[in-house]
Amino acid sequence: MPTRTLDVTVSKEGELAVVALTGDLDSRTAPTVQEHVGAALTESRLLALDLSNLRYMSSAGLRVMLLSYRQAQRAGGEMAVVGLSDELRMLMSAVGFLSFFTVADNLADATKLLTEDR
Amino acid sequence: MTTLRVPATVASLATVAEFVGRAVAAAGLTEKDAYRLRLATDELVTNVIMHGYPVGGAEEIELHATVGHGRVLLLMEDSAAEFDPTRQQHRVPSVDPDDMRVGGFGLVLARMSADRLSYERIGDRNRTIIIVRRSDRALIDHEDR
Repeated sequence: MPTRTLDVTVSKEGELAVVALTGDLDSRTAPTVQEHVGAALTESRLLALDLSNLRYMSSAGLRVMLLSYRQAQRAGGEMAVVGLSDELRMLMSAVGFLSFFTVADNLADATKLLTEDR
Repeated sequence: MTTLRVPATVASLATVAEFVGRAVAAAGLTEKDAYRLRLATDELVTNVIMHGYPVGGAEEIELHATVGHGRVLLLMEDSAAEFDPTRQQHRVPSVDPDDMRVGGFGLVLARMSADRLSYERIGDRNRTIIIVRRSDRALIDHEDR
């Protein structure tokens, strides 16, 4: 039985600060993600939330996404979500997030999308 | 029927997920069904923890899982203030990220995920029933996306 935990890694990929999540994002693990997002935004104004290895997400993850989006905007930056599974795409769609979030398949595409308008 | 009794804290969510996972396996639900049941349970349990009980108390939540042919019936019991999750207004998602309220998504997702959600108040207990059947349906039907 897999352990229900979340690993968060922060890295820099070119101009992007990347917060990558592996495991389960729920109300128990969400506060850690928010802390890492805040730290990542001090490194770069362009933020990618990499969800390629996220196995499960509840509405706590949607709140993290929305707060991160606002945090990035306040910092004068932009944010993309990367590597959505079908389930995550549907969660975002259910609450209207797909109409304003930048969504990319991979980090290269995220970089392109976040920098092309500058 | 199997029963789980956990403290009403977010730390219990991992134990709840394992409990739901065992019921899902016993019922032979698909991965999509499993996600829906975990999500509905997670959202309703979290709602009781965050909004039902006072902060810092020693309250508990009980889950009872009954596995049938391709179906899981999950009964959640708690002693928090009366709250019927089936009667809350279905919030229409906003498309403005600046005005959108942060929160309120959980009950919307719980209702979408469950094949059936019902509620009764017996004495001082809330009893919420979630049913998920093996259907391999996605969280939202295609026409709603």
